[in-house]
Amino acid sequence: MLFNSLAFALFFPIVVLLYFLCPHKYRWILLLIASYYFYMCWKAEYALLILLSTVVDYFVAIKMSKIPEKQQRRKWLYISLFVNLGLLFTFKYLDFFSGSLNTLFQSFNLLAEIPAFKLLLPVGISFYTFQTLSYSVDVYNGKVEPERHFGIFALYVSFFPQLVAGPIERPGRLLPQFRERVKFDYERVVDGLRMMFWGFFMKLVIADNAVGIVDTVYRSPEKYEGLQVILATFLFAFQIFCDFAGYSIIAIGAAKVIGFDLMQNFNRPYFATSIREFWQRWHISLSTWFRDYCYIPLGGNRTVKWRWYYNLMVTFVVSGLWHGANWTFVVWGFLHGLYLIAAIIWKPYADKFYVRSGMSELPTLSRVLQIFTTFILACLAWVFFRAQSVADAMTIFKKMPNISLGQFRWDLFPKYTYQLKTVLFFIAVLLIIHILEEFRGIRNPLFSKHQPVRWVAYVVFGLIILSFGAFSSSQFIYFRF
Amino acid sequence: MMKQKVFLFFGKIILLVLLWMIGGALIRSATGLPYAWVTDRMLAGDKMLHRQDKDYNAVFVGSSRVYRGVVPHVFDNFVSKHSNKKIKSFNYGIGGSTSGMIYGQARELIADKSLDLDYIFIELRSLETSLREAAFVKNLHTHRSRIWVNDFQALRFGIRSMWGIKGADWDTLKKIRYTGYFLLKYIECKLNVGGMIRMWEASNKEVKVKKELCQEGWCPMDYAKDVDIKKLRKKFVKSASHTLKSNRENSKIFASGLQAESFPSYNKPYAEELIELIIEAAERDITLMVVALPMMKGHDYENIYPVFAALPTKHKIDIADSGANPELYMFDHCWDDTHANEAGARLLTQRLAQRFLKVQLGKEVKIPYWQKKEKQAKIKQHQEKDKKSKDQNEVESDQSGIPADTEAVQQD
Repeated sequence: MLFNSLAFALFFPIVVLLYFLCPHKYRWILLLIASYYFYMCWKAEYALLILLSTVVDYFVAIKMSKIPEKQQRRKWLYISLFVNLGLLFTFKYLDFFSGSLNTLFQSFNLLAEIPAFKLLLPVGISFYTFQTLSYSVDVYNGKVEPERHFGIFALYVSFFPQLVAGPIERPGRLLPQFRERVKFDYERVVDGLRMMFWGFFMKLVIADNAVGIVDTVYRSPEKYEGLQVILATFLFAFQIFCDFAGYSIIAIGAAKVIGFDLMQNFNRPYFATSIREFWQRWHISLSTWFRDYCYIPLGGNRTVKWRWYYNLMVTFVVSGLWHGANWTFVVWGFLHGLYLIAAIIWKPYADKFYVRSGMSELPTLSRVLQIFTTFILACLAWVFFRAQSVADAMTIFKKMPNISLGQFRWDLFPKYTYQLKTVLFFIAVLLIIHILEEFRGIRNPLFSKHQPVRWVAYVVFGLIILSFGAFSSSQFIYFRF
Repeated sequence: MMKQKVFLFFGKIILLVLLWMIGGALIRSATGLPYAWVTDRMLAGDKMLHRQDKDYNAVFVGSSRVYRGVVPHVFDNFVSKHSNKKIKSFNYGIGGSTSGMIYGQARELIADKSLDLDYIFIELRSLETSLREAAFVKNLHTHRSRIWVNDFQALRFGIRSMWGIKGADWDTLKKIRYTGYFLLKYIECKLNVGGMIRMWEASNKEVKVKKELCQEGWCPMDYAKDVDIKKLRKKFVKSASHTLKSNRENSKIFASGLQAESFPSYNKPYAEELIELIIEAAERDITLMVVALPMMKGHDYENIYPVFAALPTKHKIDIADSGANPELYMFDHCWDDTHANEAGARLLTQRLAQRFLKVQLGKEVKIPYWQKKEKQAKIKQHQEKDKKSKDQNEVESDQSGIPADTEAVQQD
């Protein structure tokens, strides 16, 4: 079920109403049924994969908790890793690896060929497997106690607001919340709805109106010239942000309505002053997951320099691969790893340059330049993320320099003239709101006024979403990951 | 206490939705933009129909079967040749139009004061086919489907006629589900959901009309460049013999003369809605004619016939019956299993005009094509007889009276 579907528009109010009318001790049953229904609306049989992951991790965790020696617990952790990563590998990466091996065989003139399995990727598999893995690893490390109530644990794995696209929650944060007695708190419910409102604006008005232009250019980049590919890449940067951040905000808002506190997943990433900061603001739940379960176990930065760089690169390449089974994602991850390593090497020189050039006297200008540079770097990496192949990405890069501002016309994409106007206007609105939040520290500038003003904002904003939103039930980009 | 709070909260949400509905209505009335634009074809049709120099007084409304199958100038010439009526007609058929869209389009035409129409011809489409769930749900949020329910009367038509469907696969649960679809669409309409950019585009769009192909709205299948249309043709050619045979059989229901009530599947509400539309048109001095076209799909004949039978005689034209219109079921006149080709379209239009004259003026006119075919068949018979008598061959000649090309199809 998609958040931007009519089915969800019916499902959610019903679940909320029943949730608050239901006695506390039965609420987990209601949420569990709702969560499985939510998932099964897409493809019922794939709910068995969630169930398998749930059953394995539930018993593995209980078994591990009974073994005092960490060394002896390890074999049980391996079972969890094998099952979860095995599911992920089978459904997401099998064809990618077999295809890559076939290419390799062909280049060595070997006749062997591994057949393609063409399995349908289960929605959200990357998210819920990572969430259950974090549970198994935390129990293994003794950070959390195993959950003995199977129903509650099943709910932890399948909790519908964040089941298919995160935020990837940690057991220590989410599990205790299922036992808390939640009362109807008007302020919290309204706050959650406001978040959902804002998420829908980002998804429907910005992300979905940018889809047409971005898809057109990236489908056949050889047909387009400098300004068109740059504009499409710029729009993609906002499409993916608004799509994914929009989803996360709706998820966090939906959970908030029923009394759950999910972690913040995005914090205005395009206002980051460095790539390092960008990753502290973009998909926070995933980047912290990789930090805690990949980068730090590899040794983190408490090691020799070359090993530190290696750890960074491995983490980002794996993170790239997590996003999709394609070499473009690997290159995207590699590029981000490279950015970070370059930033570490460059830092002493940059600091000197900062002082000597007098930029330290102009902190605002310096910050704006850093934000701009980081955004450009992120956009260049997005080219690989969005392109259908590495070759297509290279075509885009070749086309980019052929640009002059005089080329700009509203009908650069004749089929999407009005979408272009709409999306650029609302990106400007989004940026103004983000600037107010980032630089002026104003929280929720649209909804923090007096009641009559707030109601006018609800009505106007609602009409904007309804009238300008693209309601074609398009999927969220991160559903594919 | 908590329950009270919950209900108060939901009350506020309802208030907000109402405010959005009022806002949506204000936006529509302030912008004055068209709401239910469907496709470029509809935009082009609207542009052509409103051309000042044309003064159309008749419009054909329907699906691609009308769009591809009715030739306005053939209709106009036939009527003026055989009567003193002056008709200037326009083909406003749109590919994929459903019964609800046709109904909505006809209502818009009736209400359009910038036009001075005397006749509106609407294709009678099967409601069951129009409401196939996969397509219906797929189109649920598109502008195409909104024409079904852009006002309360259209909503009533949709829901009422849908509840009138009788069939094993139309249980109460399914009807409740469809009622939900209709209501959601209606609310979407009232809230302008996703409409602004499309409306904006539609009102500023330059629609090019290809004069060489589209004559007064008609565009024959033979000139379509779409690959899918060509695929349809190939598919039809493979199974033409079987398709034509079963269509001819199924269409015989139109020759039965049975009353609507004698069919358990009779959808009375659908017929009543159409009759109300006929009355609505009459109040504006427009004669609304409901047309049963040939080459329907499978069960459509038996779905449509009872409704057709219930309509007033003066407001219906039957060219679906293969017994009375055999030429419309010949391979040479069909493009695929539902559309006429160019030659077939001309014949179909002649038949339509012929029946129109009979229904409206009580005038019997013979169609030149059929006269020519009959003459050819007779000449052929005589020639064969002569040949046989010369050879003193006593074998009897073919007396079936079926034209040669029909036989060719039967042998296919």
